[in-house]
Amino acid sequence: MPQNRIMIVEDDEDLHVLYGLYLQGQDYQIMRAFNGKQAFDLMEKEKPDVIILDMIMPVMDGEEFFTRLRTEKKINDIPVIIASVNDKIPQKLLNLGNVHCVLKKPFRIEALLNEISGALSKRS
Amino acid sequence: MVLNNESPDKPPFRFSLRYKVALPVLFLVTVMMFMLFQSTFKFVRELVHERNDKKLLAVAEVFRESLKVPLILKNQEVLEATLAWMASRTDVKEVTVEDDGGTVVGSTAPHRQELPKPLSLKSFEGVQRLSADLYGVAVPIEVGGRRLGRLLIVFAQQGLEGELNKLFFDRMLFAFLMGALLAIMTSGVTYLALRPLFRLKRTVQQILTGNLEARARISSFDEIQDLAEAFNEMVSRLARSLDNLHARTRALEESEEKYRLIVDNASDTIFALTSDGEIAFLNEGFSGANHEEILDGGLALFLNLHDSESRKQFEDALERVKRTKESVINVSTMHIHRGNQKEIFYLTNLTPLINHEGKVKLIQGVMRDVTELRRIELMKDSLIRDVAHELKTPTAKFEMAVNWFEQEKNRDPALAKYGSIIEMLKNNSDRLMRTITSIMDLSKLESGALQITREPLDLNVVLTQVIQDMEALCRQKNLELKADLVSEPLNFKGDRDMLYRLFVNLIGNAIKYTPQGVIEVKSYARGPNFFVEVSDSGIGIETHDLETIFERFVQKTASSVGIGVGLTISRDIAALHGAKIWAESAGIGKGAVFKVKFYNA
Repeated sequence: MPQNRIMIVEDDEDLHVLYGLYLQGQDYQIMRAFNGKQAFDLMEKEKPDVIILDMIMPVMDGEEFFTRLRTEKKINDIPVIIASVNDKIPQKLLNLGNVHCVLKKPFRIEALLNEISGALSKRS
Repeated sequence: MVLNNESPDKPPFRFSLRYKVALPVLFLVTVMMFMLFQSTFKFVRELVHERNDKKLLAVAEVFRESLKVPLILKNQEVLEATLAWMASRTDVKEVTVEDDGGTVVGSTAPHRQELPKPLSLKSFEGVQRLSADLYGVAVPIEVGGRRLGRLLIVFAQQGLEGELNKLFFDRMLFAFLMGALLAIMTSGVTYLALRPLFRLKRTVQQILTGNLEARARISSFDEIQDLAEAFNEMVSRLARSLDNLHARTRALEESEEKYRLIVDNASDTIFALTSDGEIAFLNEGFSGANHEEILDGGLALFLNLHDSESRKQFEDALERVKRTKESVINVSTMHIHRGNQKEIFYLTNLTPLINHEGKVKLIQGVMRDVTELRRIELMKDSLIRDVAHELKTPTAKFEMAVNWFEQEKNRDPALAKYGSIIEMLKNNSDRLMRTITSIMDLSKLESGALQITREPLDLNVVLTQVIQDMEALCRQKNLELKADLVSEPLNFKGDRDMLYRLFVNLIGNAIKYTPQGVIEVKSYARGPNFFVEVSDSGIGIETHDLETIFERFVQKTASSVGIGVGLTISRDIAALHGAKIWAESAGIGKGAVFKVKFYNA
């Protein structure tokens, strides 16, 4: 079974470090993007299995990224875990579908791992 | 000071005392004289007439003698001649002789008129007055006891009556003149007696024109002098009183001026409204409308300067003051400045001024412009919010890092020695996060932007969850957490998460302020309404703090943990649900009860 690819879209470098630590020792391939635009660039080459999405980012923020993601044919089925300090996500965004869950920062390691495996199992 | 309100060009009718005394004198003297003269002259006239009658009778008796012979002889010729001789006297008008039978035997007046009775009766003897100047005299003619007839003479005595009257009127005129003279003298004497009174009158006029120093100097040694002295004394006393009054009025004016200056120049807007809704006083304009405009516009404009919602609040507050007769303080209102259209915020205190009948006479208000204060308040709120927000992300990362360490420690026994420090890091980051979340929640609640979801729920279910979650904390502090929930479900529509938060805060607060003992959670229904009570055996609350503890950042003790927003959040959540929250306590050391009343309309 090939490694599952998890793309982390997050502008905060510290959080990338934390995600790295949290997912350490798990059998996941991690793709790192610092904004929505970078994420789309990365997805040109490889399609991730789960996207962990931050909402507030420069260049292209979470809302714009997610909205666009759902319009792109090949990749619009990727489950998204929204990770934000603010747990109030606009309902119209959630309505676009395939939001696996909203994780409120700070979250615990178990919570993140549970949600990722949950999202992956739903997909396969 | 106007004492005389009659117009000066038309002096009022006056009748001098002089004439009031003199005219009756004149009248009385005249009447008395008239009566005196009248009776005197009546007597005199009678006397004159009596003597005149005697004289006429005497003449007639003399004439009678000369007629006896011609009558006895029946000589008509001699008789006629005698009669003619008699009639030749100037005072005799006519002479007539009758015989015993009453038949005329001779007369000097051939066509004489019939004489009036009783003169015409043949038996009449004596004098009869025929008119003012004519007297009829009848005497019998007798010889030796035999009656021959009667002699009738009509005398014309001119002027007797006239002279009598003239005499009378002369005396009467004289008497009248004497009376008039007496009246004039009386008038003069009265004038002399009254003269000091005129002096008094002049003095009064001087005083009226403003010369309070004027005094009546009168030495008449009579009642007028007494009056003048009393008058002088009165004026002196009045002048002294007036001086006192002036001094006091001046003091009052100065005092009034002082207070007016203080009020007029006060930085707050001070006003007074009558209970009929009129502006009785206003020290300055506000909201871009000047003083005169507002006074002209009355209460209508006064209210219109408020924003529509504020206007309602203001009117409600006025009504409350009228109804309860108690002050209402800190009525918060917003105005739009009429000039620059900026928002102005006011805090108004309304105080009723009660009259002696116990009615609200005026409502006094002090309106303070708190726009700047509010701006600073908003700045403070936004600063707190921004700081909290800014702290949230680092704290979240910090907490996640600690979480990783905890995980690592559990996995790697070599890290076990860091267990206590990791625990400390975890507790503190948790606490920091809770504080930040509370502040952010509060600012969301206070901003009013928060929408609550109203889903049907059972308050007991929420309470059970809260009690379950709080048990660990109680155990940690060795507190007993008792639940006494009503068995029936308390079905209510509300926001589950928020209500959870409300109860958590209440129990958390109880735990915080209860060093030992019991915390009890009760729920029950009263009529259509539901009650939730959280009572503790803690340090209690002083009566004057029972309301303030719900205010932001208020802590009962300086050393207590937290920043004092928990109860404020509870209050705001209760308000969003239309519920009422309050605290009761018997005092310090006697524990406290927090009650929430849910109106299940």
